[in-house]
Amino acid sequence: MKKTNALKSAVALLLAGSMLAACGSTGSSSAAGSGSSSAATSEGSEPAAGDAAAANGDKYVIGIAEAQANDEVTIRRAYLENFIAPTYNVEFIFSEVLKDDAATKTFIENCINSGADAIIDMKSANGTMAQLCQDAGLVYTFNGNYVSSPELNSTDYTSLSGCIGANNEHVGSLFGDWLEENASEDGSEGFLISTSLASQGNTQHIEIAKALLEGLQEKYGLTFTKSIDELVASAETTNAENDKGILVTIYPGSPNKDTWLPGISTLLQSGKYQMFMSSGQTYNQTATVVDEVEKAFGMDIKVASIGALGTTLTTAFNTQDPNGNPSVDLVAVKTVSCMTACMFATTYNALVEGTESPAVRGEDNMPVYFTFNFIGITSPDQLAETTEWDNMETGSWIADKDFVDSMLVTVNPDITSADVNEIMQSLSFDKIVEMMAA
Amino acid sequence: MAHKGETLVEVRDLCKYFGVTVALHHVDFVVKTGEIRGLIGENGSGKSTVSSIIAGMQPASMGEMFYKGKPWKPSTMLEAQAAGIGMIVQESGTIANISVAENIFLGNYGKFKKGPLINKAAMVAEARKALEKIGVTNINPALPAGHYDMQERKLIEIAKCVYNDPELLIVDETTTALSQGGRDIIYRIMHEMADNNKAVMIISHDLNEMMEQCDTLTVLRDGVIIDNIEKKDFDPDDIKQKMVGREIKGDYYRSDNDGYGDEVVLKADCITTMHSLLCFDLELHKQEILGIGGLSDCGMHTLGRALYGLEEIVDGDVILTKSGTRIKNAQVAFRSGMGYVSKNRDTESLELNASIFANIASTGYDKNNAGPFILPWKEKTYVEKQIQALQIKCQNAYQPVRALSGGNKQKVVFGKWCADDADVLILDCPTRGVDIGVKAAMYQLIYDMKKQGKSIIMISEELPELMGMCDRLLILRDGAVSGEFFRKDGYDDRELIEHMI
Amino acid sequence: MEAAKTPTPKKEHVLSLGERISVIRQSRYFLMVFPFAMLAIIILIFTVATGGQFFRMSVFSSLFSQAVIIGTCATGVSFIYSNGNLDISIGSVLGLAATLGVMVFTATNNVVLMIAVMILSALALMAFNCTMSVVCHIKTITVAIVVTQIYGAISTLLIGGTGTIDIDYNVAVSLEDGGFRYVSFALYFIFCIVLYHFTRVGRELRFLGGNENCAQQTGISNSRATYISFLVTGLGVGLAAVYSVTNVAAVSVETGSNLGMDVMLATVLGGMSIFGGARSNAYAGILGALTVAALNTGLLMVGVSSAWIQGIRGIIFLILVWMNSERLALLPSRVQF
Repeated sequence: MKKTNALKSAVALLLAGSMLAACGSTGSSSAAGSGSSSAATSEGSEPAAGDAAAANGDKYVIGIAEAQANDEVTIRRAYLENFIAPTYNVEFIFSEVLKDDAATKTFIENCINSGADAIIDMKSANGTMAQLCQDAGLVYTFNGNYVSSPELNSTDYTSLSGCIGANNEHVGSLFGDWLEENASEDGSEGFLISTSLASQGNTQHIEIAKALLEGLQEKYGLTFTKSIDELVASAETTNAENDKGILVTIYPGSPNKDTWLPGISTLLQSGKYQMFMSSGQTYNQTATVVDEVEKAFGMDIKVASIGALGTTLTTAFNTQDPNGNPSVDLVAVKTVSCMTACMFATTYNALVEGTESPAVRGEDNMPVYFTFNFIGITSPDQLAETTEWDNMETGSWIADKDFVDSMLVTVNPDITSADVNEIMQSLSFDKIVEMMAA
Repeated sequence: MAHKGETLVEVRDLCKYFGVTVALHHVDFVVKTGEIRGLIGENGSGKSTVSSIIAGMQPASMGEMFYKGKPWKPSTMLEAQAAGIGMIVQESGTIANISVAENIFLGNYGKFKKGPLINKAAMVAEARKALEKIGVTNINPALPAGHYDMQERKLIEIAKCVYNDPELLIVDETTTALSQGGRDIIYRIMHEMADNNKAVMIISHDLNEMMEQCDTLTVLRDGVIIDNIEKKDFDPDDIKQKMVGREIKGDYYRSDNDGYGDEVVLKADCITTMHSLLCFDLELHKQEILGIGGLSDCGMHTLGRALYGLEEIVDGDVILTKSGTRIKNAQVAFRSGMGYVSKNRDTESLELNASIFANIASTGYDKNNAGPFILPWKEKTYVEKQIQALQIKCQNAYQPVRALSGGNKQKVVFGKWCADDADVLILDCPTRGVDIGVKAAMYQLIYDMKKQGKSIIMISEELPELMGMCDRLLILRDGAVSGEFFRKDGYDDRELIEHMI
Repeated sequence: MEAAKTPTPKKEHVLSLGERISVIRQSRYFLMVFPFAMLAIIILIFTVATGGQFFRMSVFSSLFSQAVIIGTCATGVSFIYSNGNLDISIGSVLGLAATLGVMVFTATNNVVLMIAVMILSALALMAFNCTMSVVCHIKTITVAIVVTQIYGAISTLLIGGTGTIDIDYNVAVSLEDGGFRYVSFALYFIFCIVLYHFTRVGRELRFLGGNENCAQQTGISNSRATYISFLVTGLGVGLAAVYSVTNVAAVSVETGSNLGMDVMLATVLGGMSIFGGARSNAYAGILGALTVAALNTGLLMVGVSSAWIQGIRGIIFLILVWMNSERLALLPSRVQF
């Protein structure tokens, strides 16, 4: 018995050793690269010193802190690894799923130790991370907004390149316009609005909820008893009472929580709602419930939701309810490559020219809020056009080299942050169709 | 049908090593049909090892075995069972929280299967038959095994074994856990089997029992067969000498008649427990060895526990008279200078996974300290003294206790209480499962304690040791004292037994 | 089997290689030394693989930062584990203590008060858990499952709205780097080691964890020992609450989440069984936490892709746990059946 054990131990150790050795060898070239580039950054504490590294012919190393593991993250990773990295001679370190701020901090510290030059933070977005990067001379770019991270909207963080977030007004208008077109004249169908994290201050969710309520107000000329801000901030299920007696119900709560779906199901199963609008990505979660209710009541529930390009969306559009309509009617999708391109470009510009470059900061030298448009998709036909959009298999990206180049100081030395914002906010379904055709 | 005297099992050149420890060293022997073969030897002599190898519980390191003339190399107990070798083990072989019937047919559910379901009713009925076959009717096979006490659970194991009509039955240290009634059942089964030209191997420390029941005795010592003795040549002193390797006198009990003091050290004042005892009185004197005997269910074990504060006392008090301390729980008892050796050595008296060191040191936290800190060197002396004094056989003090043989385990238990220097010791079956060599040492130790002025309560199911050791002997029946006997008057075992039943 | 092929030991007992190894593995020092050796080897391997980059002060201080929260909790919890109890509520206790501390800090701007509130509330919460289990005779794990929900709900309620409350970054940094963390951790760690290994407390806990009946018969009080173990843990969790708030300059609804599992992992990697008993000690947790930190940092620095890190780390964990686990080949123990 013991001999077997000893033998097993030896084999196991050997295995572990060889595995580590293998990791070492595959990573050795990159480790060497990042090692020397870290030496370069540590020589000068200013992030601007990064361009010295570029001049040396070294690669920039950028750490990507991710909060989730979903389609978006997979697409972003493929885009950065397969397209950006070889095209612009940079290297990325991807985090595992970071469950809290402490994990983000650990990841950033490890990136610093690995010689990274910049961090793109999709998770934590707070002063602690910015300060950490600044102290170690790294450029810090984050995803989010300045409302929930107000401390970052200042010049104190010299290493902060900026914030990239959704153009919420535009997203709201997508929903508002859709409502205008699709709601009935008398508003008898009943409106259910899932406000997701709006009550907890999520700007995107607030904007969408607001746009929907304002849309209803405009369309039916009604007045809510409570103010719209109050309704949006409500942390519990609320009937938005109004003078026209139209049924509008607000349902807050994170769709990631276990309690979200049962709550929505109960409401839908009352059969009182034919319009279901969600500020989160929920169409896949609710598909079954919606289908059941449609069958049971013989009605057509119109569904509007945030979404992402991918198979689930294709299925949702191609699954028809009993009335021959697709099970989702409006999906506002994020174009991951465009958003990622913007984050990369801003980070890269800050690395090359320093964060005080006009390509990074605003005219007042304040950090800029870079925003990108969502794309509204309302029919299977439109969806069919998107098959080659951000297609990981074929490597066909919306944000191709031309698009990225247009935002880089190395190609357009005179570009400003306002220009970058303009490019990102010009995105629309038709524009992308045009871009892909070119 | 086998004929009497045919070779059933043959073991040739069998060796078993546990690392550097040799458990069996080139052992040869033959078990014949129609024979009751006794294996006898000190703890750790290899008798359990050899029988467990035959029964498929562990493989041999070397050597061959033959069963019914064919090579025999069972890889599991079930395989051995199917081939007709059944074994009743020393430790508990039942699982407490499944039913008696499930225990009996453990691993053999097949015949009660109806698709994915098990026909419980049929299983219970069959289990009842199995129990009746060994003459047991007071066990309900539908109840969980945990419902029954140790003796009854042993009977369940026996029923399980015998149900399969084994060709060879191995009984390993089972009788020590049984009362006379249980023993009689086993003896009857053994002899029935022998009469039907099957074979039995029995392992026991009880030399008298072995000499009475066995046809042949095989004496083992340190993994080597010392001798095979036919019934006609049985001589207790000779056997003992062969077992231990040195001469052991027939009388290893105390021979004096010193008496004891008048001072009462411990008093039970009309104590009533949830079970067994009703307004029970008892006085223990200084320097007294007070024996308590009776049938195993007479309440004497409960009494031991109650005196040490382990059993809930509904009414009445246990008092240490000198200090007036009322013993309301084991902590008070321990702190007031009492000690208790449980009859369940492995489950209550020892922490099996801990080292000998940790076990012995456990009574000395208040003695080997300076303020809140424990002084390791003091602790070391505390332990080593006992290991040497008791001659505990071990590689070093840091060996886990579970790796020791039964006798050495019991020495560790005694060691921790000797070290504790308790004034009042309650010993519940202190020599259970211990071979005569260790037994003799234990008796000497108990006697030495008495001489040092300690008071001892000795609870035992073995009358000879009570008679041999006690100054005063109480016989219990149904939770009450049925007779009191004094050493100075001499004991008459017939009279004792009369008071027991 | 293999064993059958071992050559017959002659009278003079020539040991085979396998036997020699097994003798070493069975040595009582093996389990003590092994986790230290593994940590040293991991550091060595990464130092070589990164060309020395790994062997830097900044990396080590980052390892300490990563390990200190889990390590502090695990040091405390080892007292609970030793006694054969499990408590997975420490994460929520930490979360609630941190929340209360931060709220007091927001109201008073007094750092000392914040630390005091965190430690005291962690102590109080652990004492409550313990009382529930001792007085009502509920298993600690059951209590832990219930209170985890309650404490988590209270934290979420108190933090409210955005899910985080920030504290002044400079205050956090001064606490983190100004010596408080190092000094308080060192004091707590030494306190635990002394209490565990040089007083009766550790011995009693181990004994209770190994065989409660036996321990009770030797005059050891289970409830007293249980209280001590929970209070020591409470102290550690309180300190860890301070560390975790100062680490990210905020408390959030996520603070402390998953801590219970991380602590178990660290304990096991450090060579101790979470089921307690004879081989328990008070330093396994911090060792394990350092090992996890070293692996995470090292693998990232070597350039292993994040997709691979999880898998490789998992395999290394398995190997470590397997090597650490106690598998003494013993004389026949028939209780197994």
